[in-house]
Amino acid sequence: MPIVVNLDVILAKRKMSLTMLSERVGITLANLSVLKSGKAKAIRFSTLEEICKVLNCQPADLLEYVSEEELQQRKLV
Amino acid sequence: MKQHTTTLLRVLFWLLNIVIAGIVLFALFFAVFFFRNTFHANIPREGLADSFKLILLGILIQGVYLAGLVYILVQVNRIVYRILKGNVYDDKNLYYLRRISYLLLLAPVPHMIFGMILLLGAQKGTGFMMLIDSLGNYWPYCLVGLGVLVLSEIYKKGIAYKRDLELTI
Repeated sequence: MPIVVNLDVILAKRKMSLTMLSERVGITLANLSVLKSGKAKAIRFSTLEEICKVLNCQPADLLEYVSEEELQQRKLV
Repeated sequence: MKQHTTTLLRVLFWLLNIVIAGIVLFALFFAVFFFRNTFHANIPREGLADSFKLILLGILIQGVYLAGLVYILVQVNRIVYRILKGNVYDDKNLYYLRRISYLLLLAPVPHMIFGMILLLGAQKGTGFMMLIDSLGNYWPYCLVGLGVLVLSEIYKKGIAYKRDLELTI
């Protein structure tokens, strides 16, 4: 999918674990894990709002559009 | 799932089990009764030999249809059982639905084969009539099979939608 979730990057910047985020946001660890691994098909605005609030970031920091070619190149690297 | 739906499905499950057992027992009873009468009755063997193969083929074809009916009922029972266990949006249910549709679509085939055998043999007239009959009598089964196939495609879309919904965070 051309939409990449940069949750792991933001978490590393904030020095926060996924478990901590799940506790603060109120989303299960399993669901956050799905989001982090890029397996999620969609994200609710309410979830995005909560994550942005806790991580003190913008939606654009979390989500990124990457073209298929670039995605392939990234995978090769 | 609502309580009354579960109860209804449970009743349907046991009803199907009883119907399947009834059909199997009836078929076994009929087979035993027929063969006992054929082999032990005082019928002249010469007269019997001419039509015996035809009767045997007829019974064989009825057996094939009964087996098909039992198989379809077993598939329906499996679907009901899986729904009762909570696996409503499941790939296996889709496979069972597809199996049912393919079997229903193939309903005229045994009859047609029987007709072809007769057509290639001595009884060409009867064989031709049976071929026509197979197309005339079994088209509703094909229609139902087509309906089930369409239903399975809708079900497939439903499963995909449900998966997408589950992956919405």
